[in-house]
Amino acid sequence: MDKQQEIELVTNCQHGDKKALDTLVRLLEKSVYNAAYRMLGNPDEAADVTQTTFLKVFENIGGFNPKFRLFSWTYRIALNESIDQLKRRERTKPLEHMPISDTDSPQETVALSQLSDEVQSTLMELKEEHRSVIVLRYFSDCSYEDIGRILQLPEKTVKSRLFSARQQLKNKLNQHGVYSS
Amino acid sequence: MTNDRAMQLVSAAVDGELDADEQAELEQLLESSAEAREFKQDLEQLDSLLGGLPELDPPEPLHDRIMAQAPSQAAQGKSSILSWLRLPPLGSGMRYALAGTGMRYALAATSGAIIAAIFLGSQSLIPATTDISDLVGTMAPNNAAVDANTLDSFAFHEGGLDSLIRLVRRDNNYLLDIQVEAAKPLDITVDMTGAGVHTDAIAQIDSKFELIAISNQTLQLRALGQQRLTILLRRVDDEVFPEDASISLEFSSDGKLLQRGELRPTW
Repeated sequence: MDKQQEIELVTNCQHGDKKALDTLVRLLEKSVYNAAYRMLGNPDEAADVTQTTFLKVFENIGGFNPKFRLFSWTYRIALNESIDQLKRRERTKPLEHMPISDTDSPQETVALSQLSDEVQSTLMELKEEHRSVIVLRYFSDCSYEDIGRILQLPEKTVKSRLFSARQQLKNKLNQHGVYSS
Repeated sequence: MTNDRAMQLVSAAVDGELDADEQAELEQLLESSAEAREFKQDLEQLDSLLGGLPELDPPEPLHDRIMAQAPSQAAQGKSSILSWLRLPPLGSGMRYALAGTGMRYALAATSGAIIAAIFLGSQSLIPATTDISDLVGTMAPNNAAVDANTLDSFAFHEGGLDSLIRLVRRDNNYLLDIQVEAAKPLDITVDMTGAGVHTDAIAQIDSKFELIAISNQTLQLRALGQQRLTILLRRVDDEVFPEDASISLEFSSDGKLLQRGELRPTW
């Protein structure tokens, strides 16, 4: 979708066009869910975060300036919601390794490969700030500029943070034998 | 690796984020440094590993659940907050209690079971969710007012206390629509135990309800004046609707049971 189409979509959503809202959700739902899942490592929480993200989008679309990118704004909400969810989780129990195979959802379990499980477990060992940049870069296919906009960081910081995050991920994957350099 | 600068250059190159000057710098570096070449290969391997992971499909009902939050056209112009209140996952017992300013009606009545209480004051909530605009009807209690989407309805009418409760199908969803017009506080209890559905979300609410307590399969509310509450229901997973499924209703006021009733839907 080009910028002009996106502006039209946002404008229609702002006028309460339900079809436009549906299009918006279809456009971003899967990627938001995937980003949330990679941040949280739990499919049920990822679904909740995705739902809350779109609730906030619906609530605030009226004030959204279409000159900004819709996906950046939506991702920003999703990442913040994911981080809030992690904090809630920390308050209720110690943050621990949460392999995907532990999930109650057989549907998800079947869908994910063992490799994906291993990578996800390793991702969960990274600090949130590092996980965020990895998720946006690798699972949401964002540019440095996009990541900067979403996380509200200067591009230079994105670059250095991504560099550190990648090094850590690489080392941890190495330690787990998932990846060898 | 020669230095951090070199590593960052390689890193940015793998991300396709180099400008022309940096690209030239990197090419020089790669020619002269085996370590830089190895590092680049290393990152490309990581890139390919992560990039090759499967994209997950969101659970099937998620889209419907999200769209159930979408504001109706009529509500769009209003200020928006709390337009839709999602209920927590199943299995948490009594899940929400919403109370207005006149919270005399004891939360203790549902005490141990309540896990969350939200005080809404006099703030109005925005009607939202699946399009329920065509559900708005008169308060004339009339069991005959059943359209093709209405699975069943029950009307209560006694001395200044009126209520119309309808169970309506909307696409793959079910809505329990409760309308009340009460000259004095009217208590309504809805019990869905064994009916093959559970509460999923508050689709529309008027916060002037003095108390709303919702669990997976029960709902208690106290209403005064003209009020309306619409609850989104979901099927209990994989459960075939029981043939004799019924949703039981109780209407009381001043602690006195006035009438019992039930909805007997043909799902």
